[in-house]
Amino acid sequence: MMFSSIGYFGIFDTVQLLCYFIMVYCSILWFIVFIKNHYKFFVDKPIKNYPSVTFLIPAYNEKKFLPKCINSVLNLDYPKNKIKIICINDGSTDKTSEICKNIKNQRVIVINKKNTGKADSLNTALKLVDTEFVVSMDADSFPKKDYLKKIIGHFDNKEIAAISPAMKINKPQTFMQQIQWVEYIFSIYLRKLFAIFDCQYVLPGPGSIYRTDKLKEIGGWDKHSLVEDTELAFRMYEKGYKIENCINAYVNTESPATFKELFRQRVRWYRGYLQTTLQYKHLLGNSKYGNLGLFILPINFAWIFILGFLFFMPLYTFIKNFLEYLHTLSLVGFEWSKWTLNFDILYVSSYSYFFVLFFLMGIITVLLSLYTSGEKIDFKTKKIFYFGYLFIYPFLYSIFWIAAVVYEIFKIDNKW
Amino acid sequence: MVKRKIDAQLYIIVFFITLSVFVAGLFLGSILSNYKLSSLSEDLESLKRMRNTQETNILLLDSLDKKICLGLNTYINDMLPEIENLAERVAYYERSADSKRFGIKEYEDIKKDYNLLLIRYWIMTNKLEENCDENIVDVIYFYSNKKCDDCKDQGIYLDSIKKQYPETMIFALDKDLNLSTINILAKSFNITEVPSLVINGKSYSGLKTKREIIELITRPNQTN
Repeated sequence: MMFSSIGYFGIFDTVQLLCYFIMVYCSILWFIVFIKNHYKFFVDKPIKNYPSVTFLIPAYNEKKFLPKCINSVLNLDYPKNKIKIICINDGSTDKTSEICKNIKNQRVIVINKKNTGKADSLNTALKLVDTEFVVSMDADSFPKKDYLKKIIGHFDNKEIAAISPAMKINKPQTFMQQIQWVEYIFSIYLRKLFAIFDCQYVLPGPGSIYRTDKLKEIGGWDKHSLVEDTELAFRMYEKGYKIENCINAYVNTESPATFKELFRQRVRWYRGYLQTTLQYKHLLGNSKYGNLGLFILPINFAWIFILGFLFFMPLYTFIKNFLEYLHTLSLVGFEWSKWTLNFDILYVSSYSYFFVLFFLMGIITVLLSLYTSGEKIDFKTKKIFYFGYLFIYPFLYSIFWIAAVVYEIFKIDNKW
Repeated sequence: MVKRKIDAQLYIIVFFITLSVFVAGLFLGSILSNYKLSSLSEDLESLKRMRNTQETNILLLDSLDKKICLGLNTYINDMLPEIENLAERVAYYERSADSKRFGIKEYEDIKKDYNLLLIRYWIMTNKLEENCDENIVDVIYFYSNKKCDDCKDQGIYLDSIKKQYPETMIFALDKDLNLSTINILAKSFNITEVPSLVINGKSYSGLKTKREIIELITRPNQTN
């Protein structure tokens, strides 16, 4: 007897295996995309002539970070006369207005207006842009000195309408920020893969750069969207534009410090994503939109289900076991049970294979993310230990997604 | 308008790689489960060898017209720890989800053997009581894993009894196995439903609580 016969896998088991199948499928897909394209990752493109770039910085009550943001843009390693800044004071009620007033630099234009939201602020400023390229820069984000030099060369292809940068969390302090630091490192890797696979559907607020004429052509940002950066990317796909990513161009960004802040941010993001995919549902399953339409958008729905299932399944098992324990207590009261440390082959689950597999895939992903983001495996710095949070992160991520789905279905106002 | 390409070939290749990863997973699961079953059946085989020796000893003593009590006592005492260990392992395996995923047929064979072993052991405890003026508290428990809500509770009560009265011998027999020996035993005690208990030779149908069982096992043996 070499194998034992295969028995009956119940519906619960089958769904679980199906989820595992999709997870393994995606991991292998991304791994192969990486293997085939890894040489493209760090390519620097030469700059022929330094084109002019305008930075749009919308600011609503950003007194804390705005000066640093403006300074980091002004100090970019790039011909000074080729950089313009338009700072939009979006009806701030704090000292932001004063800060804007005190800016004495002819390269910085300040617009003061009533509070109408980020997308509208960007659009207002976009009308004034006369340079070839335009960057949206969140006021709490700071481009690295060589950001522009690294990113601008990637516009060598005329079809490319927008390029996203690599984002890192600026000085992670709190537990939530440290978790996000890991997440962003992972995102740098994933976003690059998405760009290579032609399915990058988010153009992050901090530091995405656009061809001005293309952006004006499609009408700028959508002020009705919860996530104007995602909506814009979807619209670009719809219009047949190409979106690139450059992992050599870094932008550091501030991040929510508490669970509550992060929860609000993520529910807005994920809800916005849901709304946007429904708004662009004609892209779903449509081969005209390439890998995004045919694979990524449909599989993302499967992922939301998987997240929910993998969250509720252990919860269900835990509650079930707990209730059984309570039941035993009610029948016979508390009893000491003898614990033996002896290993027994019976304790090894047949699913161990998958757990080992997921663990290995996790390690590989972490290593590739570190490689992509230029972080070294250095045990002297604390940062490497943040990867321990990866065991907690899926729970947080699931909670945010489940909340986003629930909030969206019941149209709950996203204010705690 | 950019002409977007679709990596159809990649999707198919990845599908087959994933499929092979899963088939490999099923095979490994099946091999692992085979190891588990082998480990149970090893325990069972070693017990059977032990029983073979002990039974031969008893037969030998009997044929030599010697008192068989010594042989019976050794039989009962030597095999007890091994039987209890196997009982625990079988119970653990049966609770685990894997027992339903792989090797259902193979496990059924092992379990039939194991149940027969228990019955033979129980017969010997009776012989010891008859011949040697020994008193053993024994409980036969007829259960079913299908459509038996009370069996779970009965199991919990019996586990607790075993903890509190370790000298009690509990023989859990699976009615679902449809083993002729179990059926004969059940019939002789007029047992028609699960859960049912036979305590010191007297049958009790339906769920018996811990308190009720304690009362029955601590009561002095009423033998004729």
